[in-house]
Amino acid sequence: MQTLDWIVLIGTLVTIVSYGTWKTRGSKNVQDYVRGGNESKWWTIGLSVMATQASAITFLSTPGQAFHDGMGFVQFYFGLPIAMVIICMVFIPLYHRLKVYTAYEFLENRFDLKTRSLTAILFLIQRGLSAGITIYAPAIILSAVLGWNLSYLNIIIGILVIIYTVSGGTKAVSITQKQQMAVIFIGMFIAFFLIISYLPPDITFTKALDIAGASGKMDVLNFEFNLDNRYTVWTGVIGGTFLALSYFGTDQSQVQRYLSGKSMKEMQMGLIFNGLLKVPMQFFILLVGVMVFVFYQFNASPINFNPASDDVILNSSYANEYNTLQEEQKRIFEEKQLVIQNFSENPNKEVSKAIQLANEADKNNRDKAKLLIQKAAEEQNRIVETNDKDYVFIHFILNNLPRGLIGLLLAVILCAAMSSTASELNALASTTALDLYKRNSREVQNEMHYVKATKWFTLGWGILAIIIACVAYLADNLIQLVNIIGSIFYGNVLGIFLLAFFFKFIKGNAVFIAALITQAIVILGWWKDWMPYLWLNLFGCILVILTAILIQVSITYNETTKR
Amino acid sequence: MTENSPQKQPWLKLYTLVLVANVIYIILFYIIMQSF
Repeated sequence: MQTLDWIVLIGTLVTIVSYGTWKTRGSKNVQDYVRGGNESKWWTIGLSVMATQASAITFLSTPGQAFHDGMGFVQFYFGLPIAMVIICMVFIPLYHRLKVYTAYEFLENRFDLKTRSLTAILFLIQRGLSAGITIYAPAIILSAVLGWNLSYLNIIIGILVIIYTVSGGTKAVSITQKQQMAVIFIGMFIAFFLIISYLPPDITFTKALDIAGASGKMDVLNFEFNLDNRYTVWTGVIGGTFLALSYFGTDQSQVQRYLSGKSMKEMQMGLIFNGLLKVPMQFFILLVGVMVFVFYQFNASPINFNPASDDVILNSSYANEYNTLQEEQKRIFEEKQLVIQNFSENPNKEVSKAIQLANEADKNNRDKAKLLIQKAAEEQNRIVETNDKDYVFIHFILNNLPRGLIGLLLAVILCAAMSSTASELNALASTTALDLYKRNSREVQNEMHYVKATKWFTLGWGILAIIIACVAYLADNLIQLVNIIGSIFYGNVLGIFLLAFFFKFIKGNAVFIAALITQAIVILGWWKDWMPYLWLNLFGCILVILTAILIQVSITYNETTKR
Repeated sequence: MTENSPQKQPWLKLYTLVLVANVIYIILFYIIMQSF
């Protein structure tokens, strides 16, 4: 990091935070603070929704995913546009008609207070934990590659977000997200064009794609019906619709973005904007990763991109074995150079097959290195992430981009972290203040009281997120734990909303009891390992719907027989 | 019909646009995959 990088990085972040804080100061009522005064236009909503979903890990991990496994991950988003249409047709008109501040407020209108409180609490547990991880996940990577202090980084990211989110609420989140998305797009486009310019002069963009294709990285679609494969067109369309429906339709961190819309039409257009742009955006981020892959066909790369792995392995009894693998890696790289040279002069199936074989040998060698790193970590009782996909893109940035642009790309990553965290804190505070505090307090207070309370809750959730981020390294694979917690709760919550929308005969008591039973069964199912945890989403959703129907039918039957 | 239940909403052209765009993306990806 040079002085110019620091100036770009600090300048970008401080400008965004200061502008957001200054521009949105002085909210006078809850509508202003929680729903942004209902002033947002469709493009603000669209960008805000995209910025909330795209965390720092999206920009660190997705290119690395493409580097190792190709473009297939984009299929995961095929269901998102379908979910956007369903939300526009069913969820938004209801939320808008009832003028709700939170998604859970609707559940009180439809069922009762206890169902509202239960879903609000389920949201708070899940989102409260993940807010800490949204800060921690990029911080651990940046601290590993840049040598920055992890705790300081967690605290700095957290404080920057707290400043403008506490001060301006939803309006500040939306305004800063527009600027953050601008920084993200500019940074990613510059990185993309620079990678292409770094390729040898005779390698055009089309030839680069040919090389990626010959290595299997351009296999975008998979039409197999295979439940074990996470990324197929079918899991993307079916599972993706289901996941996007629960995330965008029932998670307050997203619902609050479009509830700030000026009108129902603006809200709908904002989500449609997201539905139109999300798939090409993910495709583009993956393409950046594929171009990084092509770049490393002509430039030597480490056998494992995680710098922590070197430290672990070189101080272990496996150091010699690891050195042998590194020598092998050099040999494979030199062999690849000859094959690719052949391919660029005379592309044919035979040479294409040779590239594929060379890359398979490269992958096998990297897998062997991962095993050794794992063994070395166990030998020293240390935890090290052997899957290095999160480190590929940042390694490329730090070692190849010119001065100033490294600062810009780091600003991209931190902007993404801040935009997601801000939405989360904003939603956590609104839910705590309105669904729990205001709804359950006996005395009715004035508007400013609830604005102040929401600000205090934002601060409180922000501090908790920083604490979680600072202690996250203590837990083994905490990110997975957060995903598991999400899978345990999400399905149940979506099921409750689907019951509210589509099953008119179901009443509050039935859905509340069903939700409690479902939650207990889903937790038991996870404990007893009945299925891979991602399927708990679908399981919880179906279970709560069936259980509620069963309970409602028996309640109605009992009432009828009594009469 | 209560105010809590979904009422019939008009089908907007935007919905057709986003769904058609999704299909076009998939077709484009298929062409890209076959080409490289």
